[in-house]
Amino acid sequence: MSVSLTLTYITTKVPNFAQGALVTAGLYTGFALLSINKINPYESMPLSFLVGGFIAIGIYLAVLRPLSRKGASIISLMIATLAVDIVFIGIFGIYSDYLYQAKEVYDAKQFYALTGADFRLFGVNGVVYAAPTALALITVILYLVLTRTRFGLAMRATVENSNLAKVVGVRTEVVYVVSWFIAGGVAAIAGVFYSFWLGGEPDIGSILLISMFAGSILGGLKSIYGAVVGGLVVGGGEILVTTLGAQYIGSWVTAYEPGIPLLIMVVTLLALPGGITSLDWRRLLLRRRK
Amino acid sequence: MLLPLVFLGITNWNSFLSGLLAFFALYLIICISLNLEMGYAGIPNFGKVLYFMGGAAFSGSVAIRAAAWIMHVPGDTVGLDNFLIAGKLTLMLRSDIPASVALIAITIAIGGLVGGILGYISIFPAIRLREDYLAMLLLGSAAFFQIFLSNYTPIINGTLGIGIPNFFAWAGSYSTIGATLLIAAFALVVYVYAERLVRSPLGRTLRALRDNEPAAEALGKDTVAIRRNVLIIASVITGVAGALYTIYTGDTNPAIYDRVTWTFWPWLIVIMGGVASNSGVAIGTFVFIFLLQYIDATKFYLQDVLPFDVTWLEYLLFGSLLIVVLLVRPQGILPEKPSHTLSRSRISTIIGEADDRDERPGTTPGEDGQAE
Repeated sequence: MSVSLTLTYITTKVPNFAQGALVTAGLYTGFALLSINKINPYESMPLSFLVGGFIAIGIYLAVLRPLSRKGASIISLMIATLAVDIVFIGIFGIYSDYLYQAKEVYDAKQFYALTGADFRLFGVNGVVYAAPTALALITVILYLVLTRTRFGLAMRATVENSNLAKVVGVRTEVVYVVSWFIAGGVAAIAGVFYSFWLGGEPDIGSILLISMFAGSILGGLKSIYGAVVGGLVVGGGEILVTTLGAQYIGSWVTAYEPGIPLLIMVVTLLALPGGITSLDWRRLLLRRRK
Repeated sequence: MLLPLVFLGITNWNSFLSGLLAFFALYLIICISLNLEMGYAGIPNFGKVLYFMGGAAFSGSVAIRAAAWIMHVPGDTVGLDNFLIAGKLTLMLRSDIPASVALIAITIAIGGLVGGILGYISIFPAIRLREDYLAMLLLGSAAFFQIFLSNYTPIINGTLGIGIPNFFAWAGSYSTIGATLLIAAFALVVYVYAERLVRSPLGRTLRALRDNEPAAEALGKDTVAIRRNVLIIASVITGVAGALYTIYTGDTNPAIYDRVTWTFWPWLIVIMGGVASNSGVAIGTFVFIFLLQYIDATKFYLQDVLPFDVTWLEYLLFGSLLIVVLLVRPQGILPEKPSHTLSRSRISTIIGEADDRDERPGTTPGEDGQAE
């Protein structure tokens, strides 16, 4: 999720508050196909990817591009993505009501973890293996695309300096659209994994938004690899602290789980505003050796 | 001919109009304070609900405790006995106007205090971070504060919420109107205050700071102190709005304070009405609240036809409305006007007075006088 947020951020320089909507889109695509057509969410994942991707392109082409062409300030762009998010909360609300009433899916408004549809391996739910594998795959693919292909080169050039990229003949618009498509797809897949783990509801995206922001900020908002690490730290931190806290302090700790990404965000912003990727690791290591 | 048609379908006129006034006044208070932060000082506050929620929840929590203490009613005021005690206190306050007024004052004061404290805490990120980081942080903090209130029972009993006694019980069947008028009076005060503030030297400094911060700093303006003051003032106002809302509805519950209702809608209103334009914001508030109340009063007609909850349509409608406004008319209904200046005759009077003073014997003439 943080990876996708960072991807949209580096391309348009706007924190996308509608990123949660993309996650929810993937989550509900998987859920609806499972409940109505009995298709396993793992099998429908490519479809979720497409849905998320096309919604992201839609947001970019219909809202953000016209706005930035009119020279809107960053505040206007942010509030516009927030408005998109609100629109999507409405759409998912309507969709879940429709599933409930027309298709008689009685848990559409709030469903629990889809463990029934998950496979099991060594007594643990499959998502425990599948999600990290997918993350590793996505990271490797993105790395290869960015460093080994012409498109990756064009994309990096656009991110660094879009005007200069245009001058040397990069079609920056295509780059933007493709990046948003990938970002939307990745967010949607994250949504599917989330539904295996914790279930979902129409406005789940807004709850997840803090964690996504925390992951991206920790990763430095500029680097995809930073976002991978940031996402892992935030997700891992949430689970680790709440399980340990529940064991040693009391079960009430779990309720405050969303506070952990917030805390990480605050600490990062105060201590290391550039995120972990801004650190000069080589210098740090050398100093230690001396 | 069109106007009566629009009104068709409203069955309960009294509640429609009093609701219209109450919510108009309430949102006016919030939107004016948001306009101070965003329009004039350039602080994009994406956590507006935080201050509102703080003001509303803590004032409600203190209000019922204070009422129980004054009236010597024992029991677990914010726990199991809450609704019993709130009802009992309402009955007792019916004949005790001084106590009611005192409790109203306490509630509002607590709302402002809590709003101010939260505003003071927000200063630290607000003066350091760039707009986008600040927006993310405030949005996140507001979401976490709501989770905190839902789980930490001593304040407002977690997700169950608490009821507070009706402080306008002495007005009998006019109690809702009493609360409405209280909100309206505050809205008027806030509006006049904001309008005077933006016409003062401080208002002009704020615009300078928003439009060109290095230039304002070069002219010797303490930008950090000015931002800090505006943020605290706006937060206090929002906290008071929260307290007023608690008094109006008579209960407080974490689920009420969602970011759509109390962060996004004020933003929509300010942008629709006109950023940095108080009269524009007032018009925007009226248009928005009228639409909202009208949908509220007539939605049961639609509810029978549609296979989903009409509330979702509100989200769709107002979300799209903001995008359309941003695309088509980003300056809002009534755009920001140039700074108000004194009238020509007033200026010449002042110059005349100054000249008189220079010419009076005994006073040292200025350098201009010597040059002449």
